[in-house]
Amino acid sequence: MQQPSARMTFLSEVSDSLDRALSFMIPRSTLALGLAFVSVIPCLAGQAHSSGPRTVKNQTQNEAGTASVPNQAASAFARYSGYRIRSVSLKGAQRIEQSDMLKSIPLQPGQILDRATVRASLQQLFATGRFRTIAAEVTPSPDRFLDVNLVVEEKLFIGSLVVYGAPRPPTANQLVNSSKLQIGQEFDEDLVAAGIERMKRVLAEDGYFAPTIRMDSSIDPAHQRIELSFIVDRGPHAKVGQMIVKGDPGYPNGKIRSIAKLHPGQPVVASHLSRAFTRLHKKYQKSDRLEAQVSMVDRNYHTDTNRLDYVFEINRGPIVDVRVEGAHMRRGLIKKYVPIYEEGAVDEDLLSEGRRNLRDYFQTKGYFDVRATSSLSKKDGRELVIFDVDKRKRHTFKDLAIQGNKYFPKESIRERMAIQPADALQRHGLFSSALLEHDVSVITALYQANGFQAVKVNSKVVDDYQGKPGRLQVQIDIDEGPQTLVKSVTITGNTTFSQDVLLDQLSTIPGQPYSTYLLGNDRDSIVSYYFDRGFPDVQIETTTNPSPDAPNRQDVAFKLTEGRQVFVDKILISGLRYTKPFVVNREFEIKEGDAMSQSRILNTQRKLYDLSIFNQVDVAPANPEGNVEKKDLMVQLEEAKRYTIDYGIGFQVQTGNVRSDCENVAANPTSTQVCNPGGATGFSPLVTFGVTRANFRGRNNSIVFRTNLGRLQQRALLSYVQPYWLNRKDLTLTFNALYDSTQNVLTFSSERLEGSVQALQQWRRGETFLYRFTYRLVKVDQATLHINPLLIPLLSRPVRVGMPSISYVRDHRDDPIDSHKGSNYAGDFGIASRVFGSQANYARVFVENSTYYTFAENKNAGGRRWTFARSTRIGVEEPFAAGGNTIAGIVPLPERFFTGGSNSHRGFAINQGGPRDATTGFPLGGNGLFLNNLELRTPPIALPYAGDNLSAVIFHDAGNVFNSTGDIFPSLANWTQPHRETCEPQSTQPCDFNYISQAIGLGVRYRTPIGPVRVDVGYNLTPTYFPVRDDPVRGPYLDRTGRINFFFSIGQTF
Amino acid sequence: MRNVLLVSIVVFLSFTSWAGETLDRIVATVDRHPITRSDVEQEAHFTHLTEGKQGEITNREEVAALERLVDRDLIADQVAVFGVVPVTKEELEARVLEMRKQLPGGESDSEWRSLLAEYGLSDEDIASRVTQEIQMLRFIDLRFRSEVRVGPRAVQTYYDAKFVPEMKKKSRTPPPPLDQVQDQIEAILREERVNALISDWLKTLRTQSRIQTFDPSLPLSGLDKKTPDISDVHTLPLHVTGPTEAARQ
Repeated sequence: MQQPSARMTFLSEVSDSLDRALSFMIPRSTLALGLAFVSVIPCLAGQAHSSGPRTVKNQTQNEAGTASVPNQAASAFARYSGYRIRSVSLKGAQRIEQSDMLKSIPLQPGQILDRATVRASLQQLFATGRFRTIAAEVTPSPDRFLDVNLVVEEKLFIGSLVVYGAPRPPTANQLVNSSKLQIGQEFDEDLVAAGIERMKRVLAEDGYFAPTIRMDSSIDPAHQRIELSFIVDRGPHAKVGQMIVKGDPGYPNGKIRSIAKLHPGQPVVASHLSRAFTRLHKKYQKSDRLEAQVSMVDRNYHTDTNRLDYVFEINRGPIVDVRVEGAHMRRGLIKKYVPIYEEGAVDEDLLSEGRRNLRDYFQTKGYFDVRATSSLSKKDGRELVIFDVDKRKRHTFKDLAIQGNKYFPKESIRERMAIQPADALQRHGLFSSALLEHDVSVITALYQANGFQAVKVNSKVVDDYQGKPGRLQVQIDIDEGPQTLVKSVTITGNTTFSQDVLLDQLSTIPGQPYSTYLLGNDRDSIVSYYFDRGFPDVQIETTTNPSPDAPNRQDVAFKLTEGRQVFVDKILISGLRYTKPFVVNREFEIKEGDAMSQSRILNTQRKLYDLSIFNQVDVAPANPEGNVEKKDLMVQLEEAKRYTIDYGIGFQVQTGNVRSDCENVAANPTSTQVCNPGGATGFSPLVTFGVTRANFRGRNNSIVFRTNLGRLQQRALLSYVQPYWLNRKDLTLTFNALYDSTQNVLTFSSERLEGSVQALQQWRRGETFLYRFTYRLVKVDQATLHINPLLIPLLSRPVRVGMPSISYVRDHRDDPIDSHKGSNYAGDFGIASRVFGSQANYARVFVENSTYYTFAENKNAGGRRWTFARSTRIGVEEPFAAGGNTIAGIVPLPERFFTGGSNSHRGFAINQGGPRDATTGFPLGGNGLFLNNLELRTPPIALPYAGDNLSAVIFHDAGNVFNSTGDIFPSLANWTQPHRETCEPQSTQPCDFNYISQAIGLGVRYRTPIGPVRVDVGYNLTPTYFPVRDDPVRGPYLDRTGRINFFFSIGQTF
Repeated sequence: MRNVLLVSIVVFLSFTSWAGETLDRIVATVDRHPITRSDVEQEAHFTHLTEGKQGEITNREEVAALERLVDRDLIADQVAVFGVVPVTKEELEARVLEMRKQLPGGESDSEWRSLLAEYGLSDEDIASRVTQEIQMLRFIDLRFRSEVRVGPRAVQTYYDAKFVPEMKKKSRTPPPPLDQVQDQIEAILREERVNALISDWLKTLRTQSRIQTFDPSLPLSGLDKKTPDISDVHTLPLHVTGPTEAARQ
């Protein structure tokens, strides 16, 4: 027994000599281990740091410290033991109202000095995050009282970060972002130094290897704010030097350089290098070197020559030949579905993914039994990857049977499924085992989210359905199981908001289905409710238990820990140079004293961006880590450039133009070069130029000047926009001056000079009123007139119109550019009268109503949905004679309604509908308008190259323009042109144009970011017949508008 | 009168010489946690108590105490994030009792009180300190000890390379066979590895944390002014050569 004990002792001695730390860690008892740890830490810390370099200064201090030194602080506490605190004050604080904090700390006048209280007070003050250091100093008095001074050094928080002199690239914003400094954070010299180094790294990437960055600061001690500016002196811009290529590139250096386009002498730009990588990769991909490795192994910058040499390592790898056998597949599709191309590697995982992708692809084509295998072989330095596809029999997914569902109707389930039985658009249906698997999980999740925790969903695929080979039926069997409902919901721990208020945020309601998904949402709802009201530390614990007295019922409990509430102290804005502060202030949804609401901060940020006068808006609370009740909100704004100039050169094409080689009857009644009333296509170059002056007078007013100049159109617009008119958020005042010389009606060209003033009132969400006064002078170019000269005095004389008008728009569409749901209503009423300086007297009413309905929506298939859209437009103009002046009681030609074109009646070319001149046959427009459009819009149709961007439209347009308002309603019953014989040139009766012309047609839409590009073909079922009586070549004849019309434009018709 | 005036001046000067005397102050911060001068003193006193040392605290002991407090703060942060089983009142009392048993006079309540008073500590200080230690050891056990495995080859190597030579050097008796000391060697190696892991871990924690000191008399190791840490910036390799670089070299 003696020996082992001796051995144990020796063992310990050995370990002692080997590692001092171990001797403490070998536990002789649990307590010993506990105490040992206390001692181990310094040993470990010593080990940890002894390896690193230590300055001589520190060593000296340590050595000096080996001597015993009197403990001042300890002696101070001992010396003043039993002293009473007379006063507590804060020293060194420059921030306003900082001393309020003293009320909340434990150290208070009247107390006996206590070390724990002093320490707790220091800790509490430090936790506010406002102080860098704090010391408690005392001044004793002979009567054993102490005056305590808490001497603080305040922190500074970054209020703004601006970079001047950025070379672009990198831009000032890129440099600020790279610094990782953020507004609101504590100013720390080390972090700023690191930020500057980071900026230098980014500058070096763009070829600036010797930049200097100087920091300027401006301190606002009253708010503990520091504004930082970094002034960049970029230094010389390095040029590309040599390009050294190592490895096995397969091309000579010169070739590699020309592929990479990194030529000596070019400036060094980071994006050029990344493009060089892309080009090299593409080059190797094109030559089937799919596993080519291109990397940059070194860069050498020569300060004497200011050149940067690149060292590339390129290994081209073997030629990889990827083939799909057993089925035809386009090369583009192979590249899309075989991930070897994208990943640039060949391995079993990628081959397996390729097999899966090919299987899914062929299954969506109806080859539901398809099998795909792959093989990889190597020969002569080449790799051959073969995907062997056995398509087998082609099927048609004919029927989808859903059984066992009681809670959800079949339609609700089907609209969530991705597999689709065959229909007109998909002849074989849409099916694959992966899609079916996905659908089963979607249905399961749907039931589980509604309390059916034990739901079982099984699928079965039946081939040769109804005995017909190739037909497929998919059966979905649902065993719903019992539904679990919520028995009770309790919320505890809420002190700021009542239970009722919080219950309103929840979807989990007693009696409703129990769902873990909804519970998660509810938790998030409560968190965001609190978060939005300034509780950044709110925590919620959710517990659910089966209700003891009711089967399939759950008791739900939310236990809250609210944490502290944070409020906004001061809002500190920086970066305003031209903008008046009130322009910014009125956009703030959050005010001083409000709870620090994240959503309000984001809304404010969004609204400031919406002003379009700021490039950058950063908002952040200062002192993010402090636990103070009130925090400043730092706002940094970067004003955008105030002048914008845009210009462009384009080409304009317009159908329905007067031919340039024809003559008008007014100018030359005997001419043989008479224009065709049907018009021709006009071409013209188009020059556009615009200048915008934003933020005029620093009040966010803007002045816009815009011109379009071409042969078909000359247009100049000057406008002045003043939002917040009368200091009201909902009012915007606009002044417009317009000159327009356009030929958009075959009958004439007009010059329009218009001035208008308009107040826009945003009444409610989606509802707008427009109050407008328009004053315009329209002059018909007599040289372009193509109507009966007798009508000239009445219709084509120069006319001045002064018209006040009011419009109401209610737009509740989901997307104004490409609407699928909702409605749009617009109404306009105006009256032109001598009272308003008008030469013509008439009243004008125009209403339009459009509605959009979505049906057969499939949420799982990328939102595939059909849309039915309809629109009805009615317009009436009623002249009234003022003081017996009959000329003043005629609506002038340019003010009349016209119809026809891509945005109105697609059975007519542009503005070709309605009554016509009895002699020349040119359209005259009318005082009444009725137009009804119906459209059936298909979901996106997947096509090669077009992807999911293409969809189709079937439309029906019905309507016309009528000579007088009274003709509208009697004409609604006329679906063909009545009394066509009156339109014969020989007829003495006036041709009757009072009918509803109808057109059907097809269109395609290609989705683009600026709206759908549209091509429509309209076929007019009932074209308008009209006489042409003055054609000196053909003589009088009966003409009609074209049946087929093509239109090309952007955006839906309505 | 002159004497009264002289005494008054002496008294006034003696009091004014006390004006602004520092009672306590923040000497270091570890991320958001402050360490006060009194924390350092308390830690040093606690060490004195457990080691049975007498006399004044030296500066070296204070620096060591500050090092420990920094490490403890770093570990406490991790404990707060990952959590451990809370310490019960019974556990705490048992541990404190064991500690008292190991200190001369610690078992008697009256002597324990006077011992605490002598070192300027209170029962609350001891309770808080021991609770913290139990929690940290639990965390370390959970975090590291379960990760460490000692294989037979390592034990054999230790036995051959260290144990036997040392044994021969220190004793004439032949070294015991491996199977007799295997468990002990395993324990040593396990602790060695745990210590190495903790050491690396603390090193990493120190690097990742923001530690500042404000008292020049308490210098922390490894906090020398160094070039800004921008190791998170990933850029392509770059070498600079030329006259400037050559001059520097």
